[in-house]
Amino acid sequence: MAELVHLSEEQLLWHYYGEENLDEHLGQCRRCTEQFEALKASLAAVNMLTAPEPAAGYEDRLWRSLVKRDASLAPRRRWWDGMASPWRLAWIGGLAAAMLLAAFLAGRFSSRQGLESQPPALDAGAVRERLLVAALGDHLEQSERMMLEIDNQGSAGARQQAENLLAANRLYRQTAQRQGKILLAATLDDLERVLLDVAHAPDTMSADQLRQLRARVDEQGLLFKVRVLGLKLRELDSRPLPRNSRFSTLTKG
Amino acid sequence: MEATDALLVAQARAGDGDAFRVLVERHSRKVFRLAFRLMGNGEDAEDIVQESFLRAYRSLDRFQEQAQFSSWIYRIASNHALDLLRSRKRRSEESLSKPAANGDGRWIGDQLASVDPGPDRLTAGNQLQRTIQNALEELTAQERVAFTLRHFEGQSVEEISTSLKVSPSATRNAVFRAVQKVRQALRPAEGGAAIWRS
Repeated sequence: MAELVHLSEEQLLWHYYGEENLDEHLGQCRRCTEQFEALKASLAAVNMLTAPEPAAGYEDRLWRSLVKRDASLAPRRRWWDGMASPWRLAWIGGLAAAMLLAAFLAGRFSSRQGLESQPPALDAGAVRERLLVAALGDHLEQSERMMLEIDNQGSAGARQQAENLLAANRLYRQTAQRQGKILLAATLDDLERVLLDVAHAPDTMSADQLRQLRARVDEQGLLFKVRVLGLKLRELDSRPLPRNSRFSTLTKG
Repeated sequence: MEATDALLVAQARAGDGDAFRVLVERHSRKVFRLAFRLMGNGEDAEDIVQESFLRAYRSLDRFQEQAQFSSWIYRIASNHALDLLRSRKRRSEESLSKPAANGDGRWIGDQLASVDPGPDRLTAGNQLQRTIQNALEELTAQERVAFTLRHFEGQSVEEISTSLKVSPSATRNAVFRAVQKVRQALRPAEGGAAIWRS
């Protein structure tokens, strides 16, 4: 019978790590088995070295450090972040408001020629429009407040508020659509979807539902649009009523 | 449904910092444990984790879509640790070649040894851990990283070779030498503590 060639320490190591299979040899060689057991025991001792778990909040600390080192990692500013930044609102708001207002009023100027022939008297349509502007301003302000409350305190109590706002919002949206006020109608349409979500949400929204809702509002810049539109409506509302309205109204065809 | 790493990488590439944050939250603890094993202390481990994620973020364009983000970030961390260990070894070799005595004329190393608690104050477990820790610190940077990835992280020789950009035989040699050195360090204790003896 041929003499058994014993295994090297390196072969035993790779058998331990499962990269070689030496079971057959080890099954019939006592010396190699003893050496393998000794190797296993040594490596088991190495396993005593444990790596600690990082402390609670580690991920947040790490993220803050990363953002500090690379500002491009900072999340994009969201609609609720900008609330405490008046200068930002002043800059961006002014621009956006100008665009919104331009679209909002575009229809009014379009009928200027026809209206020029009207007598210089208090226009009944202008009065009606002023009432609508004031009501729409209130509606947007309440909607804005509701969205801010959801952001700050969660959805508790917001459901009833959303239900109340929903019917009015639908009416304003339909009116805007009929008037061809595309931007206003689109904003009200976005708002209506959010109101619908909140109105049909459980009393207490889960963190995930809340996050999704915020994300949608954020994505559409809805609160911002509502806020700018509301401010502009307030501004219009504070102007003296024209004796000779050169504008079309929201309610007129 | 939870976003996959691949989707998050794609979003991060498109400039979505929040997507990258999810990747950090998902993988940072594992990377920390790896870094701790490689460096032997929490402070260095935290630095490695931070640097690795930053490097990953800055080279997202080079990330291959078919690869696993976890393997990629592990590789970055391993390589960074390897560089750091190498530079530390060099510095320590340079400082050893220049005798650094303190006011009382004793070597800094001697002083450290004298303030260490004596064997009677240490449990057998602590002694053993310390012996192993010291042995790991004596390994070359490549031996330590290769051994850690093989022994603690369960990576194959092929994976380690790819990470460290060395041949499989060089990886095998590095792991084997590391095991030999660790076992050598344990040998004096074998007579007293029989826990790993056959």
